[in-house]
Amino acid sequence: MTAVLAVEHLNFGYPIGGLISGTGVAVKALDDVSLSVEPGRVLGIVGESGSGKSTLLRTIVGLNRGYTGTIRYRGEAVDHAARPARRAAFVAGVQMIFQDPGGSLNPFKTIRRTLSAALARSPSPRAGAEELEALLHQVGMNASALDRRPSEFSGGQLQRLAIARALACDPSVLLCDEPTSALDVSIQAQILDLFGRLKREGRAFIFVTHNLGVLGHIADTIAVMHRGRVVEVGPARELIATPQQAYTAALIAASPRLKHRGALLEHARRRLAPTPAEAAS
Amino acid sequence: MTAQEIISAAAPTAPLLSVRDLSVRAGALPLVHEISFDLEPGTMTALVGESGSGKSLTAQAILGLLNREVYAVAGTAMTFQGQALGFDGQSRPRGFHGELTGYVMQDPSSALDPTMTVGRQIAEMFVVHRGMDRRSALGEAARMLDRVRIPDAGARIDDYPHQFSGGMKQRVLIAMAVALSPRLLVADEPTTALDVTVQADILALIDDLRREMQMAVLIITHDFGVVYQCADRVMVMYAGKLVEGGATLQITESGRHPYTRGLIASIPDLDDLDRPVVAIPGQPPRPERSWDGSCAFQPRCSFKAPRCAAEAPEMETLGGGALVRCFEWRRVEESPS
Ligand SMILES: Nc1ncnc2c1ncn2[C@@H]1O[C@H](COP(=O)(O)OP(=O)(O)OP(=O)(O)O)[C@@H](O)[C@H]1O
Ligand SMILES: Nc1ncnc2c1ncn2[C@@H]1O[C@H](COP(=O)(O)OP(=O)(O)O)[C@@H](O)[C@H]1O
Ligand code: SF4
Ligand SMILES: [Mg+2]
Ligand SMILES: [Mg+2]
Repeated sequence: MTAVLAVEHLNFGYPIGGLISGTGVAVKALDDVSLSVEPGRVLGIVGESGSGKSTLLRTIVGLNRGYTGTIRYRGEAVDHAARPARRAAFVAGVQMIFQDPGGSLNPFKTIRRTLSAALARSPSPRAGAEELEALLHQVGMNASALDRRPSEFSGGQLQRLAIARALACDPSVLLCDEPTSALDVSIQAQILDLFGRLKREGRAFIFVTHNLGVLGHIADTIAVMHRGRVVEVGPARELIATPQQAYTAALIAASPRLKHRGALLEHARRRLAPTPAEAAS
Repeated sequence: MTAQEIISAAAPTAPLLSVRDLSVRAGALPLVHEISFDLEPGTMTALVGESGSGKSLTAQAILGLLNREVYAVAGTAMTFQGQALGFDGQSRPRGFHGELTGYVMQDPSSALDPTMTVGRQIAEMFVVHRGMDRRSALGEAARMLDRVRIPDAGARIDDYPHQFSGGMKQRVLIAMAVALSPRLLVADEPTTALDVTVQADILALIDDLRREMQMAVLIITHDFGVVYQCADRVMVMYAGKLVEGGATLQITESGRHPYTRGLIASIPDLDDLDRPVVAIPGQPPRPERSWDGSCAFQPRCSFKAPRCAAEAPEMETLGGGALVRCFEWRRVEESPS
């Protein structure tokens, strides 16, 4: 199957000045990253904080200028410098979902206005009552949400509404940055259910999370990032069962699991313990 | 259930903190209902439950941090090291905040002073409570930052909070909360913004303090993996009430409340990728009237019986310090988990 979205040799560095506390060196946030995802597949991304996961998603959608390398959507190179009209298919087809579910919803607008505006930007703009209801139905909500504002919803409901807004353009690819990290487990399970359904409809996902259990359940492929580089890619279950890189193994060992009680702390203590040389000095 | 029953259910050590029938209201709205529990020195207790179930309010009520103009806190008894604590939040022993108790609040962004360097904010703790001079206090601050795994801590003490990422701010709060080795640490979702490696390091740090200093820990989290790996006891909260309590293994492996079972079934288990992730259907109830004449979990419960819609279940004390609030717990216990 051919990839719906691919990045080839992507490089990006945040400009000096935007850096944390004047180290004076540009952070190379993406270092020769090549990845792709096929329709109906989930590419999971893991890696420690600051490894470049969010930067990758932001660069793909055109929020970071000055990158080198190629972003391909349906086989064609995307030119983020081109006029919006020339990128319309990409802009509608690749949608982003963030960790903070309220973040992509305007707090002052009713859900009706937010979703109507999103539908109006879609390739086949129709924003009648029927379309609005169909959209809410897709995320397991109903028309009673329409005349309310974001503050009247719980975190899980807000994330559903953010997903509804993203679905308004009928995207082929959803880029998710920690979409369930702010939610409790039972709400997370509801959202994962929803993603499973969207996946079966043929939509592709790039899914960033610290939770390897979540990726084990939803991802087909997992890519591990470290200091801007992809250090390991593989089929999700294989990568979890037999990681090839010590860095990947360390991430798995640090995941809190529901067996071997106490192993997590033991492992952390072993890692933190000074080496004999350090202890002697 | 009576206070006497809970006390006899607890471990033989004298509790550090003992809470009976704690309730919180906002105006006429009941938010937390009659919570009772004990925390023993050197133990970690996890408080779990859906968002909005009242976990943070419970934590803040114990510490006396709720705004009295908004919230009314009541109860029958609350003691710390055997000394009575008032529910109004006013009567707290000297050094209660900072020295005797440490608190990591859920939202780190509002907790730090944006106009003061991170190092000075931590150093203040040592200056005010330990009478240290500023130089050595800053040294201590750097040592604490290092313990919470801030790289290059000695240089970062001169940074302002806005120069720290969300996860780093969370670590600063943890450093401040444990700086004076308090008797009790209350940590409200302390590791949600952290990656797994740093999370494991922080949990190991908290566990060390618990062992070395006999610090009691109340941790609020929705990560059952963290609970399973670190906590001795678990309390499960639903719609403002405790619905189950007991030893960690018992709760995670054979919970007796349908809500507890539902939570466990909704975890994507890294060690059992073939087990489907089953969501609890529906939404948690709004706080008002949720326990009025029925079980608040009833609309979402797969074990419900006719009685569940007609009256609210009381907490029952079972063996081994276990508590459950469900008419049907025997049926739940017998069903495979
Ligand atoms: N606006 C910015 N200006 C300068 N540097 C930045 C900016 N945003 C991110 N960085 C740096 O780029 C690197 C990658 O950051 P990124 O946000 O992509 O990490 P991440 O993998 O998403 O981490 P997390 O798991 O904490 O979300 C880090 O070193 C970070 O400090
Ligand atoms: N001032 C208030 N007025 C009305 N409801 C409130 C107020 N403060 C908190 N609540 C409600 O109390 C419930 C418990 O809140 P909280 O303790 O923060 O939950 P948790 O920490 O378990 O997510 C929530 O439903 C919240 O919306
Ligand atoms: S009391 Fe009834 S409704 Fe409530 S949890 Fe038990 S079985 Fe379910
Ligand atoms: Mg990120
Ligand atoms: Mg809370």
